Amino acid sequence: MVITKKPSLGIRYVNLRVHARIADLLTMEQMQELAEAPGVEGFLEKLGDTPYEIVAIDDAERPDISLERVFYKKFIERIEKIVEITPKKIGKFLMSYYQMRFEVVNLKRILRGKFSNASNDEIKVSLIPIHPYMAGDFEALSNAESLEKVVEMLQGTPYAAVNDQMGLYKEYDALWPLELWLNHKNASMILETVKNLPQKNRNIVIKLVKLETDIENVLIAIKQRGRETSVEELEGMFPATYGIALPQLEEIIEAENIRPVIQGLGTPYAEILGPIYEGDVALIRTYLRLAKYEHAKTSRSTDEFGFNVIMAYLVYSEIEKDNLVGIAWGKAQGLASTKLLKYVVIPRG
Amino acid sequence: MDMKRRIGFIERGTEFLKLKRDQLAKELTTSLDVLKGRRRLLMDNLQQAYTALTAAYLSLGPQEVQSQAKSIKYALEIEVLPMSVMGVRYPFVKIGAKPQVTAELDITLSVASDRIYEILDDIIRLAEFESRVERIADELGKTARKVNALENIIIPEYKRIIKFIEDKLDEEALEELVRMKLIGGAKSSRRE
Repeated sequence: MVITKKPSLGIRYVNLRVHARIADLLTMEQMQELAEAPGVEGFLEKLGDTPYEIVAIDDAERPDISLERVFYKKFIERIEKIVEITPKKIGKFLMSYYQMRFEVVNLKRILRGKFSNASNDEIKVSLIPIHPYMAGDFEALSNAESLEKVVEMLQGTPYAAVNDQMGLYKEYDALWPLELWLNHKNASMILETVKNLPQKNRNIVIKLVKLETDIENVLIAIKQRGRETSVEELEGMFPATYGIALPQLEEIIEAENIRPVIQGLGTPYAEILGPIYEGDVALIRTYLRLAKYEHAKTSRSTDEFGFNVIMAYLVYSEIEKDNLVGIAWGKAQGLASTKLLKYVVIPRG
Repeated sequence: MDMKRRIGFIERGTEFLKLKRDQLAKELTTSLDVLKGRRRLLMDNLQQAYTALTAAYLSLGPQEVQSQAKSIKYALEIEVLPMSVMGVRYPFVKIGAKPQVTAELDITLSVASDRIYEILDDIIRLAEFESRVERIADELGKTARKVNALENIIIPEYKRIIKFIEDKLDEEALEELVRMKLIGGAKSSRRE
């Protein structure tokens, strides 16, 4: 993202613009129509009737991948438009918040590509279309000769310490030590960035980050079930915990029956994690998005002319992007709309 | 005599083929029942794996799933060896190396990959079993055709030829006898 900063016209002006933009987001009816459209062509036709207008597909063989790129670009464009006009501190935070997240995703994709000897072009195509934030040049990283070279090129950036994981990477001939480190780095950097926000604006972000981290921690714990873990391992696995503490995560790993432990976590965790009883972990993500949506909506209603509206708009936009990516893939696969709608979050209430 | 020896040999061979046919039919009936059960089970498991994979795609998006899938090291390595049951050759699949996930997969993808991993063996064993059943069915068809051909065409034909030869020989013997008698009669009348 390259942002040309315009002189800030104040938070009230930004809010007016954001309110107008919220009206441009897809409604539940539009989302339902897209999910029910017959095939990719029907989906594109319906999409043409929305603010997305006519979308060109550059890869006819994989329309789902092309459309994913389009929806990411649209989302990034929305962030950029907001950052352009927001006051400096807020703009800086929003840029770091989203760019860091996408940058870490791209770094992981580059490492996976190098690990699997994918071609440089394949790697480049798989990246989220953003400009590098702190990692250096994605093009150069993608063109690197090897995974070791990529790690070497990250020296001098905030990701330099990923090099410390190379020992484990070589020992296990596996990527997970590098990926785990990048995940932790991402979480800690985001929380660090929140400090750039004015005190009064921090709550909505902190709650969103904490909720997401707590649920992702539980998902990691569920994945580790049945394994014996030491305290050191637990601390390494969960470097940041908030509403769900380490002993509770340990309980999830060790419990024979997970139901009482999950129920003991209380609201909103028990509700979000409910699908685990049926083994549908993907639905947990949908419920997490729904909880984030609800949180953004509530925060927005308490402060209709402040930062919360901006953040709510970006949360809604990201949910819309995720919904559209899923629906486009489902259309390319010929999935029934009932299956798709199960994983779609109500876009706007 | 040679024909009679040959038909005896053919009849014994036919008996053996009938035994083989009955044994193959028994094997096929049992195998088909097993195959139906295994197929149903595999279809259920495949359905579950596909549902899990679909959920992973819907949750993460296609690009991320493809990227995470790149962390799978080692392709599935198999060796196809010949095995034989009652002379029927069928392929036996020896699994060399299995794919190995080497990255920190997202839990949705991890669930899907676990489900697929669990049924990988079943898919291979079912393919092997299907091929075995198919070949047994082929062999049964061939054996049944051979038995029918022997019973209904070759053996009756041989029997017909033997009968024809025997009839011919009997006829010739009778003619010879008549001739002898006629000659004998002529000689005695000349002597008189």
